[in-house]
Order: sequence, then C-alpha cells, then structure tokens
Amino acid sequence: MGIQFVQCLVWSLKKQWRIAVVEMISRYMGWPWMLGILICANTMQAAVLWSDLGTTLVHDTGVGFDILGGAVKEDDSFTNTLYFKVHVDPLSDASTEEYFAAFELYEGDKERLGIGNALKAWAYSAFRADANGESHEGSDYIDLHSSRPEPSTPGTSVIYENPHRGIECTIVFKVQYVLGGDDLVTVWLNPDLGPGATEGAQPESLITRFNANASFNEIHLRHGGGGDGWIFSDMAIATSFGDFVALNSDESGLANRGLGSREPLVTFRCWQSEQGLPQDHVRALAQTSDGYLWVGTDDGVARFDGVRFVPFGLPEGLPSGPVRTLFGDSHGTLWIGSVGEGLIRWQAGQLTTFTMADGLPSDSVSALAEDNEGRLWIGTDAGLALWQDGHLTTFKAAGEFKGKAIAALFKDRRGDMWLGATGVGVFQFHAGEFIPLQDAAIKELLQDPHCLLVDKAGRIWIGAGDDFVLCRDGNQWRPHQIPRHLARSYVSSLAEQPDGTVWAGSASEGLFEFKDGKLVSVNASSGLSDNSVESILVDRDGNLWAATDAGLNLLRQKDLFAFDQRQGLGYGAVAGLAEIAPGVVWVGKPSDGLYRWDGRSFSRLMSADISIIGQQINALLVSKDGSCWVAGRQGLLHFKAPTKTANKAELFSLPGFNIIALGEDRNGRLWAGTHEGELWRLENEKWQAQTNLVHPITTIVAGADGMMWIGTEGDGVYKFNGGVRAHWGTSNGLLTDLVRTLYLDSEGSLWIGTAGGGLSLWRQGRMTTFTAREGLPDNTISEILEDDKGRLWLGSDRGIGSASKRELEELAAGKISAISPQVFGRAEGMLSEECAGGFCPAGLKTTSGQLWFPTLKGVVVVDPRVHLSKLPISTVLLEQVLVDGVPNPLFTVTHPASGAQGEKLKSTESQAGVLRLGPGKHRIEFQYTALDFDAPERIRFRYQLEGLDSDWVEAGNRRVAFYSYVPPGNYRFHIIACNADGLWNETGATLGLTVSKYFWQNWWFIGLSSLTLLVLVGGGVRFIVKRNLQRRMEHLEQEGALERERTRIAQDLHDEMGAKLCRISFLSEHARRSHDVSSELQHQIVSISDTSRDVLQSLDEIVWAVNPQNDMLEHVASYLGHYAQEYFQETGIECKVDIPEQLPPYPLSSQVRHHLLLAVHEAFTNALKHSRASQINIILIYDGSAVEIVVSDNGDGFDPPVIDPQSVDAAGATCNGLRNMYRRMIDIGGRCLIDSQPGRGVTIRFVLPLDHPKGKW
Amino acid sequence: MITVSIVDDEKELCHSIETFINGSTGFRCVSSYHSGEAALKHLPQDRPDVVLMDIHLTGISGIECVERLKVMMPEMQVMMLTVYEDTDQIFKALSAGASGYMLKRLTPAKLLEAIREVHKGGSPMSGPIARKVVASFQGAGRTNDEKTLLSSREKMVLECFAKGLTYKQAADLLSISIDTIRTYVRRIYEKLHVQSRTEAVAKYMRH
Repeated sequence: MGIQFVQCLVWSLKKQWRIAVVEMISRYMGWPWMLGILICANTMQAAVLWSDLGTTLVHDTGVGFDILGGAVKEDDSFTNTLYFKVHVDPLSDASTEEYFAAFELYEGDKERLGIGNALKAWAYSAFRADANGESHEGSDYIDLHSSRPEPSTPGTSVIYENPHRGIECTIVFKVQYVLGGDDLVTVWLNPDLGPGATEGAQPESLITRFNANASFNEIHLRHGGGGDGWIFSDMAIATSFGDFVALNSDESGLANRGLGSREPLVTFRCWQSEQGLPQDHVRALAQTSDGYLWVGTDDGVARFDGVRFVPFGLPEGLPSGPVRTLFGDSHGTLWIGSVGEGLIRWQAGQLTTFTMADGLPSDSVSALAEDNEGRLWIGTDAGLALWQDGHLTTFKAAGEFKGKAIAALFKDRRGDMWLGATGVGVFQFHAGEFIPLQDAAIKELLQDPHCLLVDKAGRIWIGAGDDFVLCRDGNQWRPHQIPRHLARSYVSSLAEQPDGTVWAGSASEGLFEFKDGKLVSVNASSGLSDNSVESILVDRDGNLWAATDAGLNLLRQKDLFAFDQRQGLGYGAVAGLAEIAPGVVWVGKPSDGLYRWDGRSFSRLMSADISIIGQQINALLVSKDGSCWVAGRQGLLHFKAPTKTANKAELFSLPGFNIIALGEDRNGRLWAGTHEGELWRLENEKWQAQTNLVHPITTIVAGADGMMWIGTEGDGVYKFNGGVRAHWGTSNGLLTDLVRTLYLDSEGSLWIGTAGGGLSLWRQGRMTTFTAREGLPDNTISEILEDDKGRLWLGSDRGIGSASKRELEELAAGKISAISPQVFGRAEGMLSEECAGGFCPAGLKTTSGQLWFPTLKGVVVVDPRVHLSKLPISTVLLEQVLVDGVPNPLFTVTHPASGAQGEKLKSTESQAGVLRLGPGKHRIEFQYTALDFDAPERIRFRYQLEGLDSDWVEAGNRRVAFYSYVPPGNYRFHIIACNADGLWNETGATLGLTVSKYFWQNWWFIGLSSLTLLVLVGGGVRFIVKRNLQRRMEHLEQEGALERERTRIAQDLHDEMGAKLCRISFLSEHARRSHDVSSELQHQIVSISDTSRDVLQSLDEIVWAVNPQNDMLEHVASYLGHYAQEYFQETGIECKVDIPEQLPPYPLSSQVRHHLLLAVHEAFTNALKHSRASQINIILIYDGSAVEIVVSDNGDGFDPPVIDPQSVDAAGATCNGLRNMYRRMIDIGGRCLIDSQPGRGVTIRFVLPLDHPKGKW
Repeated sequence: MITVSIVDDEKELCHSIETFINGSTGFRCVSSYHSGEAALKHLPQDRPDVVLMDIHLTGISGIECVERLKVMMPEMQVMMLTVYEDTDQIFKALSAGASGYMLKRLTPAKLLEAIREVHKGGSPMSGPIARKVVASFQGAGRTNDEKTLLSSREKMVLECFAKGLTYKQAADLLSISIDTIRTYVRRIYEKLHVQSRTEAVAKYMRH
C-alpha cells in the first residue's frame, strides 16, 4: 500500500514534469526528438510513456495510420513490460452490423495485435496476426472476459461483453515481452481504476490472458465495416498498472471537474428553420455595433436578437444570391459581401451596392476587415480594395494582389492587418508594406490559406490546406492536422474567445477547440447541429457562434450532466448518494445495489458483504469519521474505510425493519428512521428505540442543541430530543403532512420539502409555504441543496429548480408575488425529470461544490459554478412602432443604426426621438427587444407609456406592447429589461409620442361646447317650465276670470234685483198699511210681499253658492246652520242646529255647494210641507273622510219608495222632490239616504265623501 | 220716539224705507244720505238714535264710515243694512263698531223690531257671525289686553251661537234669560271692536 502510494506520487510529479519537457521539446525541436527523450524516460519506473488524452473518431479507416509517431516501440529485443490503456466509445453496434474496430499494434506495416472488436467476433475481443503480419481483421480472435457479461439464457453462462453503442469501455492490457518468442498478454476489460485499485486486486472475471507477438512501433486506430465507427480516447502507454490508477479523481482527468474525461462539457443551442431561421444553410456571421447578430444565408441576410429572426432579402433591395461574408464596422454599418453581386453597404436603412463598375476588383467579395484608421479592407476574388472616406479606392501595395483571390483578412489586437491570398501566401501589413510569412516546412500550406487569426497571446493561426491548422507560437510553426473522414475537411474559420481559447471550424468535422496543445473535437456528438461549419464568430459578450449547413449554433457550457447506464450506472432509479472521498461518490440504487463513481465512470461495488443487505439500497450516509453507512432493505452495513474496496463491513441490521432514513447527531451517533415509523439510535453498537411515529420517516436532520428534526410521510415534522418536543402539520401552515425532505440552513431556517404541498419555510416562528403558483417547478420537492452562493437547488418531480434564498425570503415576506427560478428539465439534459425522494440523505453536495440529484433514470449532476452572475443587459431597443397595423416610416429600426446614432446606441440610452401622430383613434403597437444571447427567453421586460399607464406593466418575455386606443396628448414610452438573474437595466429605451387632437378635442372647444350645451339645456328647461307655468297661470286666470264673471253676474243680478225686490217689499208693506185696502187686497199684497222676499232669498242662496269666497266647508256649515234657523223661524217647527265649532279648511266647489244646499233645502221644504213635525234637527257631522248632513224630524214619516233616478214617475212632487235630492247628491259625488217609517219621522242623510284634502276644484 | 237716519246709495230704496219708518209709530226718520261722506258730514249734527247704514256704498264704504262715525260719536248705534248676508262684510262692520246688522229683505216689521233691539242695546248674533267671532278671538292671542279677552261665560255663549243655536235655545241651555244673552253678545262685540281697533292701531304703528 505504501509503496503504491509513493509510486503514485512519483508518477504524478514526473508526469507533470514530463509533459512540460515534451512541450518544450516539441516547440523547439520537433517531433523526432521526442523519441529520444521518451526512450530515456522508458527506463524510469512507473511512467507513462505516451498518452493521447483527446478523442478520435475512427471510421472506415482501412489500414489506418500511425498515431504514435515513434514515441514508443518494442521489439523482440526488449524484455520489459508495457501497459496499454485505451477507452472506447463504440458507435457501431455489434448487434446491428458487422464490423471490426481495433487499437492495433503494428510493426512497420505488419499487423501484430489488435484489441477491440474482431470482425467475426460478437464480443470485445483481441485478434492476433499470423506470422506474415496479417490478421485479416480478426479471423483468429479471442473473446475478452468481462465482469459485466451479456445477459444469458438460463442454462448457459456467458462471460463476454458485446460492444454496445453508447456504452463505453476501458481496456487495459499488459504485454510482458519475451525474448524471441510470443509475449504474454493480459487484458483487463473495464478494470477498477479508482484510487487504491491495484493490478492484483482486479477480479478474475474481467481478465483474459493469452500469448501473442506484440512487437510494435506503430499503433493504428482502425475501423471497418458497418456502423459509425468507434471513438478512441484517453489512450496511454505506461510502465505499470498503477500509472492508470487515479490518485484522486480531480486530478485523474483533465481539469474537467471530475465529470468524466469523455463527457462533453459543452452543449449547443441550435436554431434552424423551425425556430425561425430563414434558411438552414448559414454561410456568414457578423455582429453590428448595436448588438444585433446578422446571419448570411443563400438568399440574403437575417437579423437576430436572440429570439426572433428578421429576414431581409429581395424585397428590401438586397440583390439575390448567396452571401459570402458579413462584417459590421465601427460606424454601425453592415457590409455584405456576396457571390457575384458585389459589395453591399447597408446603413441607416439605405442600401448601396458596389460592383466592378464602381471600382471593385471583382464582384465576388470573400473577406472584409476594418483597420484602425476606419478603412474597410475588401478582399475579393481578384484583388484587394479599400473603402475610405466614403468611396472605393485602392493602395499601391495592394497591387501585388491584383488578380489574386483574397481568402482572409484579419486585424490583430495591435491593429496590424493580416492578409491571406490563395496561391500567394499570408502577409502582415506593416508600415505600408506587405511582409510575407515564410517557413520552409509549411510553405505549401501557407500558399493555401482559408482563414486567419492572431490570438491574444500573439500566436498566428492559419487554417490552411486540406486539413491543417497552422499555429505559430513565437518562431515555431506547429501544424495540427484535423482527423478527417471526408474529402474536404478544411478549416474554414477561426475565432478566439475572451479567455484565450481558440476555436476552429472545419468544413466537415465540426468544431475544434485548441486545448492543451491539441485540437479537441467538439462536434455533432456534443450537440452541434451539423459538422460542416461555414463560419464561426465570437460576439462581444464572448459567446461562440457557429454557422453550419444545418442551422445556427451557440456554444454553451454544460452545467447539467445526466449519468445513467452509458456511464456505467446501470438502469433504473437512484436513491442514496454519499461522497466517501473527495470526488468519489457511492450511489445506492433500490434495485441494483451499490455503485462507485471514480470521476470518470461508474462501477459496481463488488464487496462481498453488500449482498447481505440485498440489492435494494435506500440510503447512504457518510459520518463524521469518514465511515459509510449503507441502509438496505435487509439491513444496515457500516464500512469503516470505504475508500478501500473489498473492505469488510459490519452489519447492523434491524431485523424486520426497512431503514429509509439515516441521520447523524452532533455527537456522531447514528439515527435511523424506518418505513414503519420507528426511530432508532445506535448507541454503543446497540440499537435503542426512540419513538414510533407510525408514518414512514423520510428525513432526519440534526439541529442545534441536540434537537433532531424528523420528517414523516403522513404526519408532518417533529422536533425530537429525548421525546417529542414539537410538531408541525397542516394545522401549522403546511399544505400537506407528507414531508419528503428537510434542510436546516446556517441561519437556522428550516426548509421543508413535501409531496404535493410545495416548499415550506419555518423561520422566526412563522411558516410560509410556496407552491407552483409562486413559481416552483412542481409541488413535490424531494431534495433541497444549497450551493456556495446562497442559492437553493430543489429537486422536484418536474426537474430541478434553483432560486436564491434571498428571493425566497422576499417571497415569504410578501415583497414579491412569485419567483422565477432557473429550471432544469429534459431540455437541459435530464433523462427523467422526476427526482427520487422519500429517503435521507437525499441529494448530495460534494466537496467540490457539485450537486448530485437522484432521479428515476440515473443521477443528475449540476455544477452551480458554471452559472456566473452576469451584468445587466446592455442594449434595449425599440425595433418598430406599428400604428394601426402599419409600420410607421418615421420610426423604424430595420437597419444597423447609422452614424451618430450608432455612437449613441453604444450607451444604454437609445433612440430618444419623438413620434408624432395625427388626430384620431389609433392602435399603437410597440415592438421592442433586448440583445442578450445568453438566455434570451428568460429576459423579462417592463414597459410603461407615461401619461397613460399609471405604473410599469410587466410584460414577461413578451416583446410587444399593444395599446388599442391612445387619447390625444404627450406621452413617453419607456421599456426596460432584466436578465435571467433578475438584474434590471433601468435606462432601457424611450420614445416620445404625441398624438394631436382633432380641433374638437381641444379643451377650449369642449369647455365651450359643454357650456353652450348647459346653457341650452338650462334655457330649454327654463323655457319649458316657464311655458308650463304660464299655461297654468293662464288656465287659472281663465278659471278665475270665469269665477269672477260668474260672481259678478250673480252679484249684479242680486244687486239689481235685490234692491228692486226690497222696494217691492217695502212698497207693498206700505200699501198694506194704507187704510182703504180691503182685507182681501191686504192678503194679496202680503202675498206679493212674501213672494218677493222669497225670490230675494233664493237669489241670496244662489249668490252665496257662486261666491268664491264661500269656498270652504266652514262657510257651508255656518251658512247651513243660519239658513236652517231662518227657514224654520216662523214656521212653528222648532229647529235645532248642531254644527261642529271647528271644521278643517276643506274646499268645496261652487257646484258642490249649490247642489248640496239645494238638496238640503228640498229636505227642509218637504219637512215643512208634509211632515207635520214639531221639531227638526239639523246636524252636520265631519269624520275626516266625509261630511254628513242629517236632517231629521219627528213628523209623520212615510214609506220611502225605491228611488229610481231614471224613471219619471208621475207619483207626485214628493217623489220628485226625493228624486231631486237623490240626483243632486249623485251629481256631486255623494249620496242621499232616506230613512223613514210611517209615524216615526223622517231622517235624511246627505253624505258627501271628501276624496282628498284638496277636494275637487 | 226713536230717531233714525238712513245711509244708502239707492235713492228709491232709501225713500221707501224712509217712508215706511215714518209711517210706523214710535219711529221717525230724521235724515237720509246717499253717500258715506255726506253722512259723516251731517250725522254728527243730526244725532239720530240709530243709523241704518248700507254696507256697500259708493265712495267710502259703509264699514269705514262706521269706523269713523264711532270715533266721532262712540255712543251712536249703527245698524248695517245689507242686501245679502256676506258674513265677512258683516263681521268687519261689527268689528268696526256696528251694533247690529239687518238684511234688507227682512220683513219691514222685522226691520222695526231690529231697530228697537239695537236701540235697547242688543246686538244680533247668528251662527255664522259667532263662528267668525270665535275665529277672530282665537287668532287674537297677540294682545294680552284683558279688555279683549273673552270671559268664560262669554265664550260659552259664543259657542252656543257657533253651534247654531238661537238666542232662545242658548238661553235655555245656559239657564239664563235672553236679555242676559243679549248683554253678553254686546260685550263680545265691544271687545271685538276694541280688538280690531287695537289691531288697526298696531298695524298703523308698525308702518
């Protein structure tokens, strides 16, 4: 053990040193010298003699070619032992096609030994050549033993493993060279190369031994036959097994974050025609100074803002045809170089085309660049031209390129211009002269340049020839050859990222990243839409764009990795995770046992004891002392030293119980919770029952001061310390009692993940709950992990969501109504979005900061460090304003901003102009955008039309603001945007808007017209009222006049006649007195006198009735009384009158008075004439609703006949009189009631109802 | 012998009445005038016992004449003559100081009786007049003058008349003689006169 340790240490030191030496040598002396050094290195112990850590795809290679380059060789004269390692990723699948692939040792052109897949073999196999050095690709082959053999039918046992597409495999083989004869070969198929692994400890099941002649001086990677080939990677030749064993995973690989050397760390976001790209064949890329990205296709250009492509082509005046190159200069102009149509300049919406007629050397423009003086260098198929101060020109030195095709132009950081011309060479323009680059070794290549780049470090890169990238570092040229499988895989473009990484795009092999001195392929297997890259561009934010035959691509750092059987994890869900050593993770699966991750791949843990607890592993816990507890269905295992495999483990089973949760308290004691609800504590290696909570215990978390927080599936959260101290359930604010996980953070807040009830936070005595409504990806939270930047990562049933704790606390405080977490789902690479839960610990945060989530299909690892905080979005633009559906020509931004405006746009304030609209009802649509390519769909906008909107309108990621009616006035439209991190660019873009009024909308007009209206209305009302009043007055006057007329007539009548009648009265009296009048005459005179007095009386009554002054009930009553007394004064009938002293002022019309009095008079007359009564009583009764006049006498009485007012009865005056009375009362709306019996007197009642206080006028 | 003076603007009627009175024993008509002005001018000299005055006179009205006459000759008995029973006018006349009233259509015998009555000191009261008096006194709470307030006995008498009883009936009801009734009535009228005069003065004073 110790020796191994030392060996490893020495190896690692030497490795570093060795690589440095090799680098130095290769830089200065070239490849052949490496051999010498390495041969010396051969004699050292435990050394890696050769390695190729990159990936190489081999397909249909035929014989192939040497990859060693002479680094190592062995022949019969050597007696040492060499170890070989190769990692394969088969794309061909034996089950579908017949093929062979091999890592083959050659001696010269003679085949010796091939390891891989023999042509006739199904399984991983080795094949040997015959004496002649031919192997016929494996006619004699040996199947390699495997520890993960193919599933076999019962009865047979298979020990071989077939190469499967997608399932990678590491092969290590050792050759012990024997003098003169066949060498001893030992092959390990997928050995354990984790820390501490040794050659001797490898299981026999994966070892194959045979003899073969393995002399070699070349190694070919070969493939032939069907399928897509194999990918070989991570190849090495070393002197000991231990050279391949990882010391610790972080160093074992490259600086690839321990996520497997084979894992692509990048992924691509692609845009094709489905996403709006006008044409899938993108040929050129450029970015203009305003921030827009422009793509050139076969038919014009399109402008991209991250979300939307706006194409421009023939309709806009662009000439048809493919675009060859695009360039955005410092003035904001877009230059388009076409194939055969010349050079097009697009500035401020204006298109200008320049062709040969204008002085261009050729109509096919191939390259564009701008120098420090602001001049545009134009490279064409027939020479170089210059655009200076507004016109085309050329310069003397360019004459040497006349007629030559300029392939590339480049301006380096210092401002020097570089030029590559086909057939001529590569030149640097310095002090007015073109200085050619010269190098004998690569002279031919230099004559065929395709693209140029001078990086930050000053290295010159040239994509040249058919498949080379030349790199000049200092004074040394180093050619890099890209592996090619098709004819033309030349490098079409080069670009450099801000961190110095250089990328090359090839015409058929995808992208290559220059890393550690080698070109590393990043192609379709990493997500690039197509391997034929026409152009690449690094934008001003540092993003790498690749234009391919099948769409536009954007390079992204992968931050989520999904591991499943392809990495060796096997099928199915994952439960417990534990980091037993930095970078080494144990994975427990409920159906498949225990696996170990060593930084590159997974391997099954074969410790004998594991089978005791069965295949169902629920939970893993690494305790403070470094030991690991493994809880399975059938028991609990304790590994005291988990870093050593095949270590014995102690068993602490709880028979009959299914432990699903493990926790550790402050004192290091283990707590276990079972599916049956039992809580146990391990004390001095004995289980002590704590309590039974009935429901499954899904999570145990140690809190401060000895308190244990227990989460159950069905009964909420308990606080336990010796006994149950507290309990939280649905009554305390949890939405459900099904608790899945708990997390206690450093501030003491308890985060509770539930099944279906979202996430709850118990903080400062308050429980707040968040659900999908507040922005959580799902309501079932199974994992809560916190990264180093204060963000919570939640594993849910619909992916993983991450939100900052600060944002969640703001949500709890009510300051915001929802959060927008970053969500990872299938689109980001998860194979299953459902995170597994219901056990503890759930999820893992490694010492390196990675977050591991168990899912239903393997494990997902998220690296939160990838997500760097970014600056707020710098450019917010108003793209277009549509008024009533028509783009307003006064304000369109369909062009790269021009001239002075271009400078303004560089700042954050943009386009402060004013749009004026005429009067009327307008529908206005503002189309805006923000130029940010990192996560454009997560950009959120807010806009406000100041003057109409009282506050900001949250537009989400909508890029249109729509107003259906804008009333006249002055407004300002303001738009701001925030990036995915929630940082707002507060300035944004603004636009003034003025809508003028119709003249009739002006305030003075409205005021005036309202006033006029009011006046009219008022006047009208008054007029009508007055007229009505007048009419009434007239009416009344008329009535009054009538009344007065009547009265006057009556009075006149009365006066006239009254006086005269009085005279008659007096005269007759006088006559009577005279002596010589006989008594008879006296009687007659008296009669005359009496009659005239009667007439006067009658007249008196009439006048009284007509007199409007007697219009009240009061008058009638008093008159009646007086009248009755007078009537019966001399008659001998005693008259008793009874009238109420007070009567209300009830008006009675003259008609009523007239009829009433005459009726009563009739009654009097009857009584006087016919009744022979001695007494008569007249009573007036008023009861509020009617007036009743009762005339009763004590006379003879009579039998009252039935009065029929209609019949004309000749039965006498009595009847007539009665009929009269009756009729008169009816006429005035009253009635007359006669009650009499012979001998009992007569009682006549005159009833007059009073309808309403106003009476009848 | 009761001396009478007539004021009426109907010459023929005036003459008829004059003739009649002169033809009646115990009565003598000393003068007759056809206008209020003339009456006012000459009546103070005539000094008749009773003046028969028509309410409606051309020029100055009879009521105003009475008023002025009573100022000049408070002890003069004025009897109003009226063609028809206009309670309002009669009431006003009584308030102005008239001692009684008479309808022209009364039988001449009655006329003589009425003159005798007035001469004796009686004043006529009828239902309508009584009601008017009641109303007037009700409204007269304004002056707290004892002279204008009715005594309870007077009130009872007034009520009887207001209810429509005759003198006789009222006397029967109150168990007093008719003469006493007459006295009460006179007093009521005096108070009414005073009250109306006071009101007039007050009204005059206010303006």
